[in-house]
Amino acid sequence: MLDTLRLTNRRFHGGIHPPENKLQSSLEPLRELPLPNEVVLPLGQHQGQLAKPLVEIGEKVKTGQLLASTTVATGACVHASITGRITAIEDRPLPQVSGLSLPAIVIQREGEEESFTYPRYDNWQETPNEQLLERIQTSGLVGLGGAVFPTRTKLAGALEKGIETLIINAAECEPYITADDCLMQTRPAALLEGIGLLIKLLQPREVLLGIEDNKPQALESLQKALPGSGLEEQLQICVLPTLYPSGGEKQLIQLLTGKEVPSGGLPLDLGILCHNVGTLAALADAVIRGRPLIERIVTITGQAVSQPGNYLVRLGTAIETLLQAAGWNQDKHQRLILGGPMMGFTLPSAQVPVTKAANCLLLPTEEELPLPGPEQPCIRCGRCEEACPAQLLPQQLYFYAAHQVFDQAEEHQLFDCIECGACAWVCPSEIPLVQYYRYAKGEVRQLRADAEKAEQARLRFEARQERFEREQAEKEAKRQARAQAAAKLAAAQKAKQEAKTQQEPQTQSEQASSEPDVQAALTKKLKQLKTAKAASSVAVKKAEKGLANLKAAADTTPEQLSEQEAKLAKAKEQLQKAEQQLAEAEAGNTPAAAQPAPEVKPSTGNPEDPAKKLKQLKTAKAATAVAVKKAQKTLDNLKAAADSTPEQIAEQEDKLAKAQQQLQKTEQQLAEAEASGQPAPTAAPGQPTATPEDPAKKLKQLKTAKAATAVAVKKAEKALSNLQAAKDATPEQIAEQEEKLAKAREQLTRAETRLAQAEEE
Amino acid sequence: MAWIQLSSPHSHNRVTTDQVMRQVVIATLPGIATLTWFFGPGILVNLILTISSCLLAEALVLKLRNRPLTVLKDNSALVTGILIGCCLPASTPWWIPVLGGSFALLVGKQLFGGLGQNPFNPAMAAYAFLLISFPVQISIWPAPATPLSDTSWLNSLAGSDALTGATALDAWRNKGLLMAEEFWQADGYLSSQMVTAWASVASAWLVGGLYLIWQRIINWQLPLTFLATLFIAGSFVWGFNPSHQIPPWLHLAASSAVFAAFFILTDPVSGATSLKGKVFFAIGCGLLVISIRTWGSYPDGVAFSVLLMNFAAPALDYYTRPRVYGQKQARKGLASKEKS
Ligand code: SF4
Ligand code: SF4
Repeated sequence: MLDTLRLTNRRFHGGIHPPENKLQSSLEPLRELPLPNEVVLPLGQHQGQLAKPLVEIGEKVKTGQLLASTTVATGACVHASITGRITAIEDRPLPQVSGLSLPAIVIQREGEEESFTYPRYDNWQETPNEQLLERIQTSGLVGLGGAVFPTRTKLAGALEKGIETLIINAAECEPYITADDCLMQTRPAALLEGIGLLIKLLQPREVLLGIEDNKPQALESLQKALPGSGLEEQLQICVLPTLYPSGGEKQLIQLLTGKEVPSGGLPLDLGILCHNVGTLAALADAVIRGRPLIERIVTITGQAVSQPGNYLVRLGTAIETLLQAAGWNQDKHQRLILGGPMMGFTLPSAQVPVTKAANCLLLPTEEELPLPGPEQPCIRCGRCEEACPAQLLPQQLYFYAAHQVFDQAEEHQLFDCIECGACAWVCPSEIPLVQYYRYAKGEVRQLRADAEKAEQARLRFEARQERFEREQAEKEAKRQARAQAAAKLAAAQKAKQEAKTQQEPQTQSEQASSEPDVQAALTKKLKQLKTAKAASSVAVKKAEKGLANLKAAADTTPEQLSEQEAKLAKAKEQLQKAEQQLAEAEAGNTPAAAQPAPEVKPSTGNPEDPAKKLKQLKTAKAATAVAVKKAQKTLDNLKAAADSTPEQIAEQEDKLAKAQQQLQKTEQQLAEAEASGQPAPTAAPGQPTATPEDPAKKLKQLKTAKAATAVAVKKAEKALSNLQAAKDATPEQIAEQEEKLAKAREQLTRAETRLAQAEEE
Repeated sequence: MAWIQLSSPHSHNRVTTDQVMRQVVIATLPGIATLTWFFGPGILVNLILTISSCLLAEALVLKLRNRPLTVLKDNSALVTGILIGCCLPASTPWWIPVLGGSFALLVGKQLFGGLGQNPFNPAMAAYAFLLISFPVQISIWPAPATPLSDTSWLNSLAGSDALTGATALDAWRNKGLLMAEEFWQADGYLSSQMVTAWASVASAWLVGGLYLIWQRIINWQLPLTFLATLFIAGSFVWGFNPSHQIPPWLHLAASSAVFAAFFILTDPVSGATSLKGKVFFAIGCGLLVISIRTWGSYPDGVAFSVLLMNFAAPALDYYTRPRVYGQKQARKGLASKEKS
């Protein structure tokens, strides 16, 4: 068996000794909380994508049953933590500072507790890695140390890259928290099993467990459990001097290996993988015992609770229930901190569920953790620098953040700050330094995102412009080809006709009967052109309104404005074109109607018939395309403005409604075309096979085009509602949205291709 | 139920700026006591005048700037007052401390925006101002006596300059072509009482400084570097011409050196901020002091050295940034401009 190592010679820079306050909770035995009557299980307890619910309201579920799953790398499955009936799937507030709400599954307890277990992998030593990973995925495992990153993804990454060193983080350096301590004392065997599993999966060269020397019982319990676990020769336990933040991943790596994680990199870049003890025990439960992640140990402590200690809690239990069980003294309360006093955050409400990330609830009294005094000026005493484990210059960072010199803050490696709070803890001027860094980081991220978005918008605009020009050129080429073909055809027919007139005078009457039909078609065409003109003038107005709105909105970025202006210009262009077309058509109509030239008419009339329909098609297509584009662009705008206000959303809804209206109009036009298409076969018996089939075919194509664009609109709409649901659209959501838009665009192009085909025929 | 919303960390160690300043005040007590012992209660009168003028000036500015007077409680004006008071000779006319205290607070500190904003050490700025404007009033110390039994200090308060004595460095400067041995033997230049008095005062400052280090108010690197630089550079210069240059021990014993090492250079606001920067700051100050004492026209040069190094502090900060965790090497200099 390897000797326990006492690491006293390696250090990280700085560090502090805040009062530990661990005994309040660590001396108490682990208590199991009675089953709650209701649990709320958010579909996004982890970082990343929401899981998709697999159950419906009213369904009965057993404890451990899979409720929502995901296959995305950044997602994690959610399981029922009690037996009962699903009463709601709706937005519920998460335990976060912002009080953000996300979709959650609510289960009301009902009947006897029944467990849904998965097959055990008793012989996990022989089970293929893929199968183990699959189980880890379906068990909903995430890092329980605080990062809440999906375990499967982390392990898959490590498997792919290969690791040298496996580090088990048992430091638990944050004051007050003893959840890991408690776990090591009560379930050392499960922890060792978890370590064994990881060794089997990853085959590391060395396995180091780092534990602070303030947890002698946990250490003893581990040492006792070690013989016979099969890890005696592999697991190196390292005892670290107590110093905050030795449990920070980077600091622990430095302490145990002497290496530093490169700035902006991952431990994996050094061939190191870190896991928290809680995660490993849960891993063993999931794989070896077939128990998904449905409960965790939560430390409840602080002088405002009369029974501080560690509690085994089902996920989704309301924090308030938990507080009551721990003897929460209501009038002594002041702050409800999720996490420890150094890095935890205050919750705005206790009516939020315990999630996978919740390791500690701290309810300090004012005497225990006094409220911060007034912020005084920085006297540049340098204490913060001495304390900073990242070896930054917190006083300089503070100066740059407070004066909003963000480029200098970045230059002083703002993003290497791990927000440990050591600097703020020592600062004699009581400056909330970490708050300044968070603010600066947020601002820098925003600036970066804005720059990127503007760049993307520019690229998109250029691509659109290019496509538009290309299409115009193609259309022009096709039009010319068609004109030539028509001329040829006309010449041929004229020749034929001349021949025919001599032989069969009967044809004459036929042509006469077709003439009124041609005129009808011409008026129809006029009508359609008018509709097109109306549609584009509506578009112009809309664009103008949009521009005005944007100008009125105080927080509009210049990019948005210019985009909107571009839109307006385009709409105006379209309007002009429509008007021009209308004028041309009107001008062409009168002489055509007045001219009774029987020889020419039929020959031009017949090829004009499909052309007319093509124009209809074009109008319909253009109208819907405009609608889609608009929905799309507004969505872009919404995306650009990270904080879309309710007014903006309302506006967007308004626009979408209008787009739908236009779609309806197109449908109406289509119906008209269908109605007018019917008499066509009788009108042109001269070409008995081609003509009757032609309009029918075109109608079908029209339908296809319409359906495709309708789908596009619907998709854009759906995406919008998604965006609305998430107040602060996450990058993933935006990605999803973009994907959808891309699809819509694809469909549009398909419709266009079909149209082009129709044109050629 | 309304919960209080606060940002982490929720815990704070209980040392605050006013406590830091209070510790500094405590640390000056042995020095003040020794000064008073040797030079009479004139020192205390000076202190009362500088402290009250500092507090009054600060209060005035706070009023004008519409700031709460509670800022005075941060004790920083008090410390500035004490530090100037300790530099002034006991026999100086009453308006010198008043002028010094007001100048320190108004020009040295509040003109730049108050605590934390001043680029120069206010006490040294005021002292340099007085030294340039009133070189005579500020350089003449009364002859040290065994006070409290002696009433000569009363005469000095009354403006009589009968009983003045030159400080060691002044005397050395005035020795002319005398060789070192002759100087020490000659009577008219430097009384042995003067030497004893200043050596005692220096030790008293050392005691206070060690207290500050023990209380973790200041770090040990800065004073040590400064004194070591003085000694090494002083020895070097002295080695070339032992009979005419100041012996290194005198560099240290001349009161201003130890006092500056622990109480002036350690002023965090106007110095370099990183530990490495502070070390360079101390070396720079030491070299400047030796240069001024050796080649300059002022007998002592601590105030000017500190002010000059205050100018250099921002540059020191840029070039002495520590290597951040996970970075291959420390970044130096200003942010690259293409980024902004
Ligand atoms: S600890 Fe506070 S007062 Fe001291 S340098 Fe840092 S930020 Fe300034
Ligand atoms: S919060 Fe950031 S700057 Fe402050 S000590 Fe921690 S790592 Fe350093």
